[in-house]
Amino acid sequence: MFVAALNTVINGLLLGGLYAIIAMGLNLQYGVARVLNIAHGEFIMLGAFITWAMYTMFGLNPLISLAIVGPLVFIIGFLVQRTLFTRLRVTAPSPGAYEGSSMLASFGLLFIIQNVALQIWGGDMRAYSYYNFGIKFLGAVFAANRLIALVFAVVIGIAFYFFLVRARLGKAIRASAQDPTTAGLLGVNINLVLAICFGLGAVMAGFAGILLSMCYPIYPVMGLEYTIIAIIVIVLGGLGSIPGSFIGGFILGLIGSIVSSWQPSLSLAAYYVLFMLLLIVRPKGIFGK
Amino acid sequence: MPILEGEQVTKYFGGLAAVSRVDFHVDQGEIFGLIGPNGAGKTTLFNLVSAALVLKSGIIKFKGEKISGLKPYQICRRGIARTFQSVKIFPNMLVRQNVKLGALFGAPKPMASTVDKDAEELLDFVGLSAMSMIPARDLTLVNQKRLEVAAALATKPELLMLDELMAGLTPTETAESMELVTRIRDKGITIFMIEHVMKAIMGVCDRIMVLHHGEKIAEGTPKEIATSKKVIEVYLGE
Amino acid sequence: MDSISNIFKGSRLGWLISIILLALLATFPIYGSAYTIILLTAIIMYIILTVSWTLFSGPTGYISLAAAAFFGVGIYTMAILGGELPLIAAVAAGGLISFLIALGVGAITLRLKGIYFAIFTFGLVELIKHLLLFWEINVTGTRGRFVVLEDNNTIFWIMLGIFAVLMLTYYFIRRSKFGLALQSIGENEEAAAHLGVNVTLVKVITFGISAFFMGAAGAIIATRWTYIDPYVAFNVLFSFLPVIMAIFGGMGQIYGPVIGAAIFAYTEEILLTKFPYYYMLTFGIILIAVIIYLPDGLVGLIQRLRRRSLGGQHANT
Repeated sequence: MFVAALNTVINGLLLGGLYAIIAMGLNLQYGVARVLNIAHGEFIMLGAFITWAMYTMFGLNPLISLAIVGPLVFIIGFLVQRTLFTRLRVTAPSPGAYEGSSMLASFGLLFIIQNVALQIWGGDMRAYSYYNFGIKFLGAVFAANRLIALVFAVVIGIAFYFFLVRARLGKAIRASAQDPTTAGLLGVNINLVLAICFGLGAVMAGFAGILLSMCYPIYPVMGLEYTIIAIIVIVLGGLGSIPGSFIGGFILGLIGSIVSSWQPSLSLAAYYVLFMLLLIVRPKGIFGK
Repeated sequence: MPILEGEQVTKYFGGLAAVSRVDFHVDQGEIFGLIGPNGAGKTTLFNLVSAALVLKSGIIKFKGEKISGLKPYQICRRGIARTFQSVKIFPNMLVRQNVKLGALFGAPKPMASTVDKDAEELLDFVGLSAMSMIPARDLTLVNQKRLEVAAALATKPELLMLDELMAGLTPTETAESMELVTRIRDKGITIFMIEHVMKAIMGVCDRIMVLHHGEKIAEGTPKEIATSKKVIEVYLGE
Repeated sequence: MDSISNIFKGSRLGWLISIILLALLATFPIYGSAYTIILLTAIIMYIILTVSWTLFSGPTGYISLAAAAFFGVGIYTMAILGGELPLIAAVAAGGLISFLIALGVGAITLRLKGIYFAIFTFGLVELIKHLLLFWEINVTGTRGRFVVLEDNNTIFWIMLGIFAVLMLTYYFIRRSKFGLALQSIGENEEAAAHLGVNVTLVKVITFGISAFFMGAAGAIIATRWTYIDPYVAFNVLFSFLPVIMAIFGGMGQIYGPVIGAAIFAYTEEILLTKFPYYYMLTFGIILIAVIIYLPDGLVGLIQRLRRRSLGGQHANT
């Protein structure tokens, strides 16, 4: 009984850690670059699949993949923002119009990336076995890969948060989010900062994908569900609040794990019930302004 | 007899008090002015009355009944209409349709048969008859402001709130607007107006309230306000 | 949204032409080949989805990504009730259930800013899919259902009928008090609210109406697809296509989405047969290209050309 509960909690924390970094990435893109990137989940999928490919073809340790896939996904995200979204932003008649057109453009991106993935890897589910042995902990046995993924997710999340608060680049990002015009006047290269933000957001998704691939099977259309979950998390935590996304991710992860232990296929429904309640009672979320 | 009353009206934005414990009342049939330096909370107070914003605490009553908590369209239908500092009209709709909208939705018991006539009469009242069939976006600023007033009047309000009607107008246009305000009052509509143009306020208002940093610092007749040391300090000190 | 004068100019002639075309179309099954009828049915279906989408998202500016959800609900309604009710009743039921769900979704989300609405509607497809999967696995124990195949001509006529009712609805809304309120919300929601318009109610009802037609279209097309399961019925592609078709056609005029959908649906047919593995990619690229280079769609392009040739003037009074 206790073992089952502990299992649920650990699973919930793992899920939560993944949700947290996915949501933090999306929140950075929305909060700063003002793009609601519906294709966010596709970057998760890319991270997962490239890692899988590296592992099955070259036996590359997924944790090392973090260092390889990370920059790759960053570059893709950076380029997408620098070309597509910057073009939209500059030509948009109003910020509201830009939010709309960028969201629709990301919808197009979703289909492009998904189609490419389907072409390269086919539609089947894939999985690989890595660190799949058990670790004894508090009288129960847990898969080592899940514990490692959990640790990495938390570390990445916290590192990301400190980067935004401490590092000069992080501060430039936050300044740009608050007041783009003034930031520009103060010498911040807005286009560069926004592109970096978008790239970083994509990287978080990529990292989550890598960690995911270690623990769960993956398939090319997996992205959509994670995007939806990420969106619910950022609403829960508060649009624009990075710490909110971190905490919100864990809350949702725990809820998901608890619901899953009772009825596996109802976790999304549970998230949506929470989503509805949130929109009715407190749309701005936990830390929203 | 007060038609509009506010008790301890308060609104915060984050940690900052935009409007802080303001008590005020507007008597039926008068022209009541609201002045104060930029950022004093004047438009916020308007927004609280018209329900564009939600009160943090305090009560607002219209004709003795509590209206704080209602939605904007409900407040309009009860008899309060307003204009906006940034002139909110419907640019792609014809001038006449702008006014018709108010008549159809904001007026108590609108009758489809009279709506067109009412709209034309109001356009005539504000001097826009000639432009009835032009898209609103093609009007000059002063005419757009007049259109906004006409649309607000179409809702048959008992209280009309004007937010900086004179902003951006030439002296001639300001004088014409002042005259329009008096004509509206003569129709029996109470007026509550925010203004920066001192000549207009002093010339037209029966009483004036002064806000500063969200608090009421003075209230009285134009003469009392003009000679109040507190008010002079606030304006000269800026 | 363009000024009323443009619509007046086009309206009498435009509607006359439309009625004639509609009558002509209705006679197709008599001499057309089965392939043509099926193709036309699909094209009209896309037109219905696109025009319904534009009916709401055009005037209000709220981007709905729920088309696939309502379409799917219509399909599933036919799958479940198709055996119990006469055909037209089942189609109406599909529309009605979609309408009710839309009212619920709208009541929760249309009080808030557009972004919440967009993301809530986006996830609806997945949500309903998951719910139905759960229900099928755990409650009914079945996986997928079969719908009785209907005759091609019947499907065509019903789809055409839904389209006709939709256009009539569109027409009456535009000329009514409700349509004026709808337009005002799109142009300046806050001003509309302060002039007495119950903006949330107008938005919710319009959303419901648009969902009704999407559901009805889904219900009738299910009788062609015959095998229905949650994956077949709920495909996010159907949230995506109406949007791209509407933008491509241009949302300023009534005929914009119609033309956009017609051209696009026909193109999709070709693409599906020639490049079955790349059509998603192509559509994605086309959407992005359209958003960047043709934001006002074909209609905007036509209007710009017309203005240039007429010398164009807008006097400032």
